[in-house]
Amino acid sequence: MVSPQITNLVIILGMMQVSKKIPLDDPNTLNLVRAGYLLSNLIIIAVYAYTHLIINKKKDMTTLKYVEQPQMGSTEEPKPITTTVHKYDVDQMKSLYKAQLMGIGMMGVMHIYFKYTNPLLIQSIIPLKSAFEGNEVKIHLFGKAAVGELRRPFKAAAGFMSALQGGAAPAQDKKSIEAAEKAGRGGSKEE
Amino acid sequence: MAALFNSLFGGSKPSASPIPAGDSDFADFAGAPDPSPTPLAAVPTVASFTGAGAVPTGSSAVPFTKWYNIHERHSLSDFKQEGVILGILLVIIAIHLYGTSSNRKRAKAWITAHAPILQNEFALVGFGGRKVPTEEESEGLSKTLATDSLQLPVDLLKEKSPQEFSTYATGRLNVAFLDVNLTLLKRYSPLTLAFEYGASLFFDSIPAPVERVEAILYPFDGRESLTVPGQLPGAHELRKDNKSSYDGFVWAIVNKETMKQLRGERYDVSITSTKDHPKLPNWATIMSESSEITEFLLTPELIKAVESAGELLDHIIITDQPIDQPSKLDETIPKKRLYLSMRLPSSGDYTNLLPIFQYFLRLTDTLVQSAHFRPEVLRKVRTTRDDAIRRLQKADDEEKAEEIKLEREKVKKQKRDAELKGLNAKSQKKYLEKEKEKEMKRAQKKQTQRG
Repeated sequence: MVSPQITNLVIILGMMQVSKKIPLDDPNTLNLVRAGYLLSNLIIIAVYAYTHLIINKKKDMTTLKYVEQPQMGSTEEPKPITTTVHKYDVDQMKSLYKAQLMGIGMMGVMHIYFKYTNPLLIQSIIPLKSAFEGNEVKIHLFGKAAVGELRRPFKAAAGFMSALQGGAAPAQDKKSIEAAEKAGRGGSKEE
Repeated sequence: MAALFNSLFGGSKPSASPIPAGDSDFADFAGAPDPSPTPLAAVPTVASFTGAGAVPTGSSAVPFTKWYNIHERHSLSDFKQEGVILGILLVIIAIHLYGTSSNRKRAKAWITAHAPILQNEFALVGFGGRKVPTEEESEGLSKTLATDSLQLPVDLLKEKSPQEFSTYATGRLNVAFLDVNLTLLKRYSPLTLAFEYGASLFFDSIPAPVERVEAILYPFDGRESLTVPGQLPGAHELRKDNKSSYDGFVWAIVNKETMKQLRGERYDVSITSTKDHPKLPNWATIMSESSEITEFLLTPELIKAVESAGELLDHIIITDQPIDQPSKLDETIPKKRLYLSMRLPSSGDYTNLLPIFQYFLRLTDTLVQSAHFRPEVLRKVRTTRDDAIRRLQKADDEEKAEEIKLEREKVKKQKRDAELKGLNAKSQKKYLEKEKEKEMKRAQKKQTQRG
């Protein structure tokens, strides 16, 4: 299977060509494209909501422990996180909702304020595709076993910026968890 | 807005001014006839408040201006804005009254359910002062609680704000006092409530508003004599057997939903390690410093109480460490407390929550009786605290060293200034040159060393 980034790139390039052909000046076509964008977002929300429902129904209270590695360059110590699979999944879903809302907001500004029409097409395909490629959706909607790539905590998708930002994968070995757990980091007034 | 103010403050455009614009002298005023009231006949029989149709009064000799006749200057339709404002105001007041009264009702339901337990355990409950408990009185209390009035039992429960209620209890073996705080939803302000819910969806740092009861119990820990003044009866006996102390440690049963947040917010539980226990329901976990402590504290009775409370239980914590990370040495002095936090059931049925509350109140007895562990167990517990103390000590020492260094430099400079002052111009110059040379030499030396 090709990595999602490459397929995304192919789709973007392809759609840019296609969108040149589509007469977006025509109000009817434009409305059709707008409807397509809304429909795509509705599908995404529905998929997320259904996944969320499954997560809540399963309510897997297995304890999940891992150590969050600090960002490269920061002097912070690794932070131990103790949570449950259920809570972790819910948090992940929350961040997905947030990401989608952000996307819609950005699109709204681009389209309504700056009157851009081209991104509508791409933005109704790419998020839909990544919604189905998300880890939570894969596990709960498609019933894939949570092993390998899908093992919680998820690794951040290897992207363009990840090499720069650093941040090692969350550690889960017993030793580092135990070391970080008793460090007594809680209750510090940082902000 | 301007229109609003205009209509609020009686209109800035009088239809006819009684005093002509040029009021430089009183001649005009003196010339005008007395503004005697119009003859009765001229007045319209029905004071038509809404009426725009003013009755012509020109026939009478008295010059009649509109200035005197309010119902001719204004009609009810001028007050639309005020009407709307008044309406909104009424709605807001109604919501507020409804919200506060329903909060009061819930608080009352809580204290009604819990007052008997508190009164069984403590000599003094609430803010009413000490009374001699008689059979009759306690009956009377339950009677007043049973009535369906909205009046809060003021002695028992204090309303700090429409959403916060608190009670207090003292006078029990091994327990110095108990604070209970009820936090309810802001029912009286639906907008705030909605906003809080919305914010909690987007920001992890803002928790969703929930209704919960938090109890903090302060055990005596062998320091009864500090709390009870010497002259009071019973003080002597207290001093005699100071046996209410127990070993300091941190131990907690925590609802897994909140454990991540709890470990982040509280220093004391963040020095423990989290471990599931097979005997506990799967939504709860143990945070403990030693498995031996867990085995001792996790009695079947407690497990049963936890099970009956269900997921409404947030946490029950036995601690001797501060909540905030200590930043000074004297903040590390152990202060023993017990915390209990539960969410309130929306049904208002507290029967399931009573066992854990009762167990919580009696927990100190168990602790005092037998929370004295083997030295091997305590060594582990003590190491964590000593480490924290050492860390602070080190930071403290460094700070002190810095201070001493600064002080020394200051003294040095003072000495030099004094010396310089005592010399005449020539020797001053010499002194400065010497100093410069010295400094240069030192710099050179440093450079050569580095190179």
